Amino acid sequence: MLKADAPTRPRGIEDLLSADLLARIGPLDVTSRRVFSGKLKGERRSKRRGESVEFADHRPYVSGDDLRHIDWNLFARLDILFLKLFLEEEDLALHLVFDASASSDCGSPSKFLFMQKAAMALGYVGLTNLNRVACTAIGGLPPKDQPPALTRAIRDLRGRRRAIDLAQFICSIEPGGSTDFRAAAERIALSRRGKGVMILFSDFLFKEGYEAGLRLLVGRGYDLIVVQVLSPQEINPTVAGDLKLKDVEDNDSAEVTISAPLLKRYSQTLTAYTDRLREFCGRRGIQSMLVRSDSPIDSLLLDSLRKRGVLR
Amino acid sequence: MTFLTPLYAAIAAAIAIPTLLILYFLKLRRQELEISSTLLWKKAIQDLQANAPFQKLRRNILLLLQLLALAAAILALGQPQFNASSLVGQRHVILIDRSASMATLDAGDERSPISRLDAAKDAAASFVQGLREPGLIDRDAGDLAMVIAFDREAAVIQQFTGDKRKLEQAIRSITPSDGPSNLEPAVRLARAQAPKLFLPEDNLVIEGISDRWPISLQVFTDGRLPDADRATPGPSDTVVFHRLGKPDTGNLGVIALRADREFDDPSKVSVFAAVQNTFPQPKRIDVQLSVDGVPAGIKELTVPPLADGRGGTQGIAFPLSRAEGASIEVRLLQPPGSPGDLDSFSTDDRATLVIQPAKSLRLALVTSGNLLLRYALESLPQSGDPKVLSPAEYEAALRSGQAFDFDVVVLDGIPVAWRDKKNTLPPGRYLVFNHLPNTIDPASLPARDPATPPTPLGPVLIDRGPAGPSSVVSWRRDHRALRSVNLDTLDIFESRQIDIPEGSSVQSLAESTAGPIIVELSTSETRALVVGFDPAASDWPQDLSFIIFLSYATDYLGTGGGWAVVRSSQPGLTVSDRLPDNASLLECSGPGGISVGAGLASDGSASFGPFPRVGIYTASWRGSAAPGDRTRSGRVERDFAVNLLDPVESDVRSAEQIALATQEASASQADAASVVRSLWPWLLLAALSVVVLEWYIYNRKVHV
Repeated sequence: MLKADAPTRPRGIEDLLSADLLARIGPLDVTSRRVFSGKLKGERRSKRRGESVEFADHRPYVSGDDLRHIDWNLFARLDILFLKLFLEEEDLALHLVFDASASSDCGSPSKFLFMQKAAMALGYVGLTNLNRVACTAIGGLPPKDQPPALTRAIRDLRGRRRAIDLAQFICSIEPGGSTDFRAAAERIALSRRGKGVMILFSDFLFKEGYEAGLRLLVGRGYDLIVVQVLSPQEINPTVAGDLKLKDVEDNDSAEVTISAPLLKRYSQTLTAYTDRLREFCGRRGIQSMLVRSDSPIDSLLLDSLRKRGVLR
Repeated sequence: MTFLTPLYAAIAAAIAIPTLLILYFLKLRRQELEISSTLLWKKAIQDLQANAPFQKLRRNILLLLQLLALAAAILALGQPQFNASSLVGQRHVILIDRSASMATLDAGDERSPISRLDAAKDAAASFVQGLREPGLIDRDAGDLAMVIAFDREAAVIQQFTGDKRKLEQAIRSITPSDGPSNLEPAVRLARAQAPKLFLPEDNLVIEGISDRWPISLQVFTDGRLPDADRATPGPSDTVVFHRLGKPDTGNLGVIALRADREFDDPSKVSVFAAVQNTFPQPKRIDVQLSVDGVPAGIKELTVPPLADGRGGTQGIAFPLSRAEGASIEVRLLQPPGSPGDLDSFSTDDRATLVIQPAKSLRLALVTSGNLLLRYALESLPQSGDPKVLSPAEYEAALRSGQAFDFDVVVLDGIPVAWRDKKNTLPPGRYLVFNHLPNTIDPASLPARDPATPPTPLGPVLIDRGPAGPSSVVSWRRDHRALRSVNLDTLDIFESRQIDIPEGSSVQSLAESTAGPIIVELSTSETRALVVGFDPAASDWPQDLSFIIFLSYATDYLGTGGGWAVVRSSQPGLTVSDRLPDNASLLECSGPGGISVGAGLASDGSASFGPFPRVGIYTASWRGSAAPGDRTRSGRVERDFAVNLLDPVESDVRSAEQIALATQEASASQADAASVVRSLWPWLLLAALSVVVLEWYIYNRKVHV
């Protein structure tokens, strides 16, 4: 919950992905409950009949079909032209979005670091499986000599070699400032390329609400997965005494005297808030999950996302 | 409500309240903390506030509670007490009447009444509980109290103290007595015990100004105090009359009892009893006479009702034939068939007497041949034949000591001398006619200053020589020797002129136109009735009163005024009786085994008492027995009867007010008996409770 005085920042892929983690997530691949048409032939079996080597079915030949796909053996036996159908193999668009607002940079361990690591791991999985990987940071401080922007993104990464680029992008994001989640979501939705899986990391503590932003994202045909990252201090506050709590994003303040009833009420409010997010997502076919920032990345990938069918 | 230390409270209030307000208005300095979002915290606070009532008061409720706690603490510092204003003095004397009438069972609940004394103890104990306790800061601010119990006499049960436990123990230790009540000694004792004012800078003594602290006299009594008008509390003293009992409580009681043996037949005894009724209606009762514990007769008696504020009285007589001694009891009984008890005061429902066996007096007549006196004395029923002695024989008897065997010596104009003192009566009992013993020369009297009290001279007379004819002007009708004697018709032809000098202890029993004519001389060893004329030189012998006088006078002298017939006393008094010369190891015990004092005086008489309760007391000693005494286990025993026999004490209607010599105290003051309660412990408790409540609210509270 509290902002760290001197947060540690990852400098490269080696800070984001440990060798052990790499070994464990190597066999994983990103999947989707929905089938999207890819732009490039990928390593993904599509439900579309395509041009891969994997046989799917026969169908009668109609005029105009590619003669190369006629099953000549069958024609020899039956004297009827049948076309051999193969499973199409396509690539998948994987869009990783993480919240780089000042509120993300709080907690111990930092929520932002967790999101960076999770995005890198998922991006690596996507790149390894020849998926089209894009990564967008919402908010964050602008780099030197650049104007502030709602979002910053890197797109169309494909292949394991681009993992370095992804890591560089992720490491280049400096969290800070406030977030206009709705505007950022709108920007992301408008600039999308193709359909695919979008995994959104944020604490979702948006004062203006998350509903409008999520509606924009889910309406564009993404298979949206929402990962709410909260620090342990946000889930179980350890503060005490007479405090003036200051919001790191908008400098709003709240004077509180910590007491048992207040902590109980806070806990109830937090539970209600996360439940409401989960309910909102559930109604719209969005997968959601709550993750503590002190939980290991591999458990997020190997357990939580795998159970939900995001990875396999 | 008053405050013991209001100044302390005011100073504390002046400091603490502004300080609290200043502290409250100084904002709490909160620690600043940067967090990811205030979103959830604000929601939580809003929820809490939405659930809490009186949100608008929330800001101030802590201040209000703090002010409340502070106010309670400051009030406690002032040490408030309830009703303290109604008590003037800080020194209280609790006077508890324990006389006979306080045993009346008309206090408390109607169905299970308690005695007035028990109610008085309860009231006094609650009064003690109401005394102001010493303050926390000023230890002298508390009250002190003293406990005095009184009946005929007063006794200090507890000296001045502020210890409520001691005072209550003293009050509870008071035992009832059957004596009458006298307030005057109690007030005198209370005044004597009151602490003296210490005025070191003031050497002046102002006439009439008491040098003692003003005290508040808390009198717990039923108001039956015949001597209240003699009680003189100090001019600044407060008297509070705590009335016990009811003003309409009626009573039937024996107020007089005596027994007389008849002159002509001493074996016949007449027992007289008088019964008083203070009920507003006439009462028919049975009066039972018991002799030695055995009922000897019951008579019905109707006693007239209360009239003009005085109880109705009715006498009753029981004739009895009893030559030997006996103990007699008269008891008032409810007639058969009448419901309930006779009355609520039982002490006077019975009275006892101890009558002595009939006996003859041993008389000696020393005369030169007066036949008149000789025949008159021989005719007396209670005496055997008197021994007639000439003056010479009497002197010889004096020298041999035989003269002291006579109960009464009648001297007919004979001067006597004792141990070379002329004209001085030897020890004994004498009836002297026509001669004045113990005379002194008026010239030997010292010149007297009128401003100083006279010097005690003893039983001495001045013989002023012969007086002419005279007649009797007045006489002491209540004296046992002159009872029923009518001297109105007595004409004296020649008498001695008797003068009783100032300072003499001689009492005049009859006055003639020429001065005292019958006088009584009394010392511890000698008692004499002196008739200052020769009966032959008057017309007395022709009158019946002469014989009656001789009879009563010899009886009075020979028996000590009735002791020969009955031995009776009242509670609270002592009695003196003559015991045999060799009596020793005296003891005296009474009803219920109570032991009373017994002692031998230098003149050979024994004193017993004072007697606390009514009933039969038994004196016992080692030695020889007199006629009528009984011997048991080697000790000689003699009984005394102690009875209330007091019309005032038997009238148990409680008084509305008591009128003292200097002021009156009404019962209404006691009805509003004040109870002083210290409030500071409760206030401190309240302050603590408020602080706890505030702490609870503080923990519940969230201030945004």
